Amino acid sequence: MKKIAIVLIVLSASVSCKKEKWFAGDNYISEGFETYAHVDSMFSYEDIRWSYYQNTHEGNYIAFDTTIVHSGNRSLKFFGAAHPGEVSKSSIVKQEMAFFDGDVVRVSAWYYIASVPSTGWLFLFDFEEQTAIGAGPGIRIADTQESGLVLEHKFFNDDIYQPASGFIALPRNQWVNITMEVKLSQKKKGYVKIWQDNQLIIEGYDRKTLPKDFLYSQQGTKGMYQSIEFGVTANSSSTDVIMYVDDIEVKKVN
Amino acid sequence: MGSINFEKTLWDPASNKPVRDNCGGYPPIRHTFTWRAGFSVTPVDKNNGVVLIFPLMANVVYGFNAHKLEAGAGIAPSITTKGSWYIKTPLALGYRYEPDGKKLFYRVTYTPIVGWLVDYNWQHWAGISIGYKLK
Repeated sequence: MKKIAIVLIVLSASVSCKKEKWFAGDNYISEGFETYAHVDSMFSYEDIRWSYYQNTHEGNYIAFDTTIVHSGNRSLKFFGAAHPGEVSKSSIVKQEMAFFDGDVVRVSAWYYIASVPSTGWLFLFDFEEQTAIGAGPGIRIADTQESGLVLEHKFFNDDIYQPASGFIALPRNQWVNITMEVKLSQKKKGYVKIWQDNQLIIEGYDRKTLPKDFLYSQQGTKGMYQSIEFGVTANSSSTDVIMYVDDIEVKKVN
Repeated sequence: MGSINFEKTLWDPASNKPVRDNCGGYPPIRHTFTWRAGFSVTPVDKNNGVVLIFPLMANVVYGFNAHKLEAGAGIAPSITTKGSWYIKTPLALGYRYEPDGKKLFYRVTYTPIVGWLVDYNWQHWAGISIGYKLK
């Protein structure tokens, strides 16, 4: 028994100490969609830029757009068709990133949503952990008709809403900057702030901002985020969504 | 949230080598080593399916008559119906009520689950058990 315990402790210590080395990755990306020859060239095998895109249903697509742009000559257009009772996705993902417990990460992007507000939740951005067993837990920004932007936790933690009285809706048919700053913590030592066009609309302090293992249904969390996802990351509404995204920047700021 | 287990005595030093105390009797306090194998299942989501868990524990039961202290450690390999796998370490420290001559026994146990494979984490859990002696 003693030998087993010693082996487990030594193995645990050695693994934990090397986490930052084993899971090293980018902690910065800036994207204006200006330099690509075609959409497929965004996705290289080496994950130099983006890792993959996903269009979960027939009719969903992503494409460069030159008519509705925030800066430069292009934005990226996402079309996520409504599929009542199902979640429709049209998004781009970058994996092999590395944002660790204690990091302060700032995410900024410009969004132009051409579709009408609907009763369902429209997810615009996901931070995800990649676990051995589990459903890619993380934090996500969603737009809701009832309360505007919401920070949703895809793990066991309360979501953060704007104040019920006087929330600011996410406008349609115009460019809007959404910026999120989050201090990552598996304990209640993190914080989250979200600005909409430079106005602070959501803030939460002393919060758990990274997922942890939960029984056996979520195993292998590492105390870090490894992937980011932009676009129609989930459309659970009853209406099609047309979204343009431009001038993305994700970086560690501390 | 639950599991079914089979437990068997691995080593019972008191029964093998009874030692008289100073008064000529046998000391009532004794310890027994057991092993326990179990099975549990819990759903994850449609992408992961369900996860099948196979905890294997080694325990020491130390106690006075029916009232016993139990401590254990083990491994719990798990695999989903989609093929993903993982291993965690369940621990146990608790009270075991096991009256002589009765088939049923009971436990109240602190059962943390320790993750160490890619990162160290400790989950606090507790449980109650009802056991039935087959012989």
